Amino acid sequence: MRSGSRNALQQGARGDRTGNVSKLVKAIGRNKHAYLFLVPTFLFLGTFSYYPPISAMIHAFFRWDGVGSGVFVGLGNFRELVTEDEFFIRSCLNVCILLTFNVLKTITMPFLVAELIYWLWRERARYAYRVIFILPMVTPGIVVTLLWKFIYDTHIGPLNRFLTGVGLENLAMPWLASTKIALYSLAAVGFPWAGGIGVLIYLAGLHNIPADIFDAARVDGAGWLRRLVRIDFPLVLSQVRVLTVMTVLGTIQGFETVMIMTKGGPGFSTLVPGLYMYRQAFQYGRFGYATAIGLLMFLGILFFTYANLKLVRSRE
Amino acid sequence: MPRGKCRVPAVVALLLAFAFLCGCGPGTTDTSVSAPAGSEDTDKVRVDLTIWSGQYEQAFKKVGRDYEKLHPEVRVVVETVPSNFYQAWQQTQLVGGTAPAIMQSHWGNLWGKSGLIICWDDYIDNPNPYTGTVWKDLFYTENVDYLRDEAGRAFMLPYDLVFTGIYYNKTIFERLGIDRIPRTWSEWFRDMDTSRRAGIIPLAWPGAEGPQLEWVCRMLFDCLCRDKFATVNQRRAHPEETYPPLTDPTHGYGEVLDGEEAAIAFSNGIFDPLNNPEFAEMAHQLKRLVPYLQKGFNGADLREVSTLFLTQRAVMMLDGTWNVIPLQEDIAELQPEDQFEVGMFRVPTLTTDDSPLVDAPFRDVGGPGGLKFIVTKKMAPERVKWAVDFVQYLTSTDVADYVFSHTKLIGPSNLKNVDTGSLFAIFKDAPIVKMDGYVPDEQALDELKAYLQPFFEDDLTIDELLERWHTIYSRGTERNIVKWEWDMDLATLEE
Repeated sequence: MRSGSRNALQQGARGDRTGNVSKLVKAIGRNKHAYLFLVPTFLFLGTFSYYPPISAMIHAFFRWDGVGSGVFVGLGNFRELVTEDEFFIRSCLNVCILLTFNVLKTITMPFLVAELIYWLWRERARYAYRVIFILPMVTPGIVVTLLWKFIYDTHIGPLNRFLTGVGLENLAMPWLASTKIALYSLAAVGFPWAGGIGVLIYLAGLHNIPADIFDAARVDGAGWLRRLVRIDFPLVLSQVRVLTVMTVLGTIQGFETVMIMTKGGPGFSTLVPGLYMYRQAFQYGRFGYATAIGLLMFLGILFFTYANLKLVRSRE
Repeated sequence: MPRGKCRVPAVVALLLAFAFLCGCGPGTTDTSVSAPAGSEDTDKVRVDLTIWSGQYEQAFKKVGRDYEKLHPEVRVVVETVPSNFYQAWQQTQLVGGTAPAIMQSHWGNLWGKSGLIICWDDYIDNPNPYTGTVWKDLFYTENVDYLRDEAGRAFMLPYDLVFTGIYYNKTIFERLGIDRIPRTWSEWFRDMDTSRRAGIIPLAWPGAEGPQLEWVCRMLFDCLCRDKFATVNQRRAHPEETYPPLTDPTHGYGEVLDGEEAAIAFSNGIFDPLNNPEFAEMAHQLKRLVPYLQKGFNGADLREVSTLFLTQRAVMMLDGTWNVIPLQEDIAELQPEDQFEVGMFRVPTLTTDDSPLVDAPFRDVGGPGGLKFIVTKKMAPERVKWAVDFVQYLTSTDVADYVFSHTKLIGPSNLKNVDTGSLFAIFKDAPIVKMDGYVPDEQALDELKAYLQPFFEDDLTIDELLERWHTIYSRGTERNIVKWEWDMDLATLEE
């Protein structure tokens, strides 16, 4: 292309851009009151939703005690975390074990309960069971956690009392006080893991499956197990994806249950990164180090979420 | 819509948004003197006092009203803030310049280093206007000195004291034929054996909580390593004071080993868990307790321990003086046939019968651990003046006497002329552990606890424990050197 025509094109493009900008400015000017009303929303969004994580990302590279601006240490916090900090590494392993259990719990039990409810004959019964399984959701999480702490109590807990009462006292043990079993006791909290939002989401997914697919399966002679495995489950995979993402987020970020029930102990057998981050920040005053943990947690969540999406999408 | 009418809501919305965001902006120094706008006392100087020890609230409010009568230009506001997250709350308030004038605090030396609070040394040598005597003479000054930072500055003013000891069920002791309180570790174990044989848990232990383990560790370390202190404690923050020497087992107060001294001792191998048999001995003596503790002690919290004690399934528990009154109240609420008499004794001492490494008897863990006053610096000078004046008022003998006699006490008073009666008499003149040298900081303490617990369960050998203890100490020392900018030279003091 000759240079003259290229210049003309470039000028034209620049002119177009200038024209677009001036059009945009004029449009904003015409609707300035509407934009003024939007300004507080964006200010709040920026202040409360974007500034804190961005600030955290920056402070992850600082030695910072929460006062003043801190000292830049480059990747020092991350190096210490992954090479020297046995507690952080153990907390990551613990959260991986919890994650495995939680994902399995999320995928299996609520799905089975949703199936049972969905295939009930009477609409009235279906409604009643839906309510029965959803009602516990209104109980605050903290109450449920404290209840389970009581259930696990070594001396007065109903679990050990039951085991002793039926002659299985050798199975009665300090559920939350032994380094060997405390993490698995935490993973079992909420048994039989059947209620909650998962059931609702799976039910919605089952309702979306066209009835003629079930009819075709019936005509083809598929039994309930084959239908469950070959039709129902594959067709609610998008619900599985949503629930798995929610579980991954909740497990990696959450530490309330651990904090209330075991405080990360005994030893570091139930320590999770969220609790460790909290301690570093608010107990030891190492805010820079804590934000580095937060950043690694964010990357972990990103990885698991991406892996899950990829996995489920390929199945779909 | 006419343009003029349209502008009005937009401007109002903008102003509201601006006003709201101003509240979210970075903090500035609170230079205002007066009470909050909207109150009736906008022309008065606001002196606000925030505590987490809620038992003082009513008494402080009463004396606050008396103070307002004395000084009509001042308005006193007393508030209790929940102890959870108090440190983080206090830090944000101080940094943001919105902190109350007077606060209860354990972290005064940290805030003082950052210039956020006043130093009491500028005031305590002057007379207290409410007594006419030199202010510091009203206190047991050794407790004020105990809290001084490495540079010897006093940022916290202790109002009361707390001690730790063994609570015991007198009724069960009598039933078991234990007719005298154990004074030594051997006697204590003998009594615990008696209790265990009777099917009663000898000692209820909250393994999920930090402090109890820390207290015993401090006592053991102090007892086993006393011979090292003369070597380690090279710097005297207050050379003008003449305290008894550290090696004197009977003295109550003395020089405090500071962090830099401990760090140097570790670097020189004096406080190194791998080099010193005292650390292994500490672990060994702690593990001797395990057979006498309740099943699942590693995961037990204070609630569980209190339940075991109150239901008489455990005969002893280790706790602080702050539990004396709550425990008596709990026992009073039991059915008459379930009630029992409770007593308290000082933790029995380890002797050379138990370990050849013992240097000196146990000293108690306690001291100024309850209410300590700090005063915010980032506020108008007039408010600082009145805040100091109000603390002077609170510590004057008559006022303090009223406060301590109208409060559920957590321990004895730190004011010389205020008598807290026989309740805490066993701790009168009790020698106090001053040496923290077995771990360098709070994080290291938590980490040590996390390794001790599997050690108690036989999941970790003593060699593995000592190796990890060394690593913990090393990392903690490095953290401290960076945090406090120590040059590891005792001739200099870092600011």
